[in-house]
Amino acid sequence: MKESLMEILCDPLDKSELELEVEERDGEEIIEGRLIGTVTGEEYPIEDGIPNLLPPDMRDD
Amino acid sequence: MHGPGDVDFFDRVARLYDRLAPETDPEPLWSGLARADRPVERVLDLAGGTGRAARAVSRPGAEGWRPPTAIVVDASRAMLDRAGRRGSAAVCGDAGRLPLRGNEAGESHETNGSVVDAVVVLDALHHLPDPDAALAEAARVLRPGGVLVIREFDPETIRGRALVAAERAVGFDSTFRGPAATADAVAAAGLAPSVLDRGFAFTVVGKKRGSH
Repeated sequence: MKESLMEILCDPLDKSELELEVEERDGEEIIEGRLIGTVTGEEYPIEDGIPNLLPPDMRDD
Repeated sequence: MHGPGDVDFFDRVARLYDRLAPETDPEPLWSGLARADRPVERVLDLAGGTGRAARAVSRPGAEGWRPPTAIVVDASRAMLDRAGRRGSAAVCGDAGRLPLRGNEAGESHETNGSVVDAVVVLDALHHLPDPDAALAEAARVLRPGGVLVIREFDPETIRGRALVAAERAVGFDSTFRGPAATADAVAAAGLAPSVLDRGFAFTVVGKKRGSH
């Protein structure tokens, strides 16, 4: 995902802001990392460039 | 309420999907987007799978059409991998609980404004476990004057009845609604509905009130 996507993303649980932690990037593109709900504390992984913002009850892991 | 719906199926067929699914006719989508009372610069392809609608609206075609940027949200990671490889922004998410900012009750527009000018749901509403939650979410993320464009199949037509039977046969949880029932559901989500065209495939548009 492009870092600029952060402007429109939010936590699916309560629509609050997310914090970005980058593990691997290629310029503007975030390859690996995670998004953390600033209110819920929920962690959403970014894997192979795609953020997984499914609510926890719909995730496999 | 928020079960997986048909997600497991789409995870399995993602590689074949674009070869088997018919090419998207962009005309009804463009006609729907043309109903917006604001420039359409960012489109959400909701339950967009491999991003067929995103690619259709991003394709240069109509006179004077400046292609919008598209973002695909789908619950199936395998379908999204294909959307991402083709240049659409791809986000794994639940259509009924979107990870996108919108108009939240009691919050100021400055901190949490709505973020898209149009939402497109192409041949997908009937697959969602909670279509009304998805419509409410579409209304929330739409900017004033923006449009929701739904392209669906009418279960009351002859080909529609055959499709309903076929989807049941392969084990889908599909719930099809005709144009009138879809327009009612769009109105219930707080958008101003209109039926653009009818037939085996039909198009319903819902406009968010207010101007930009």
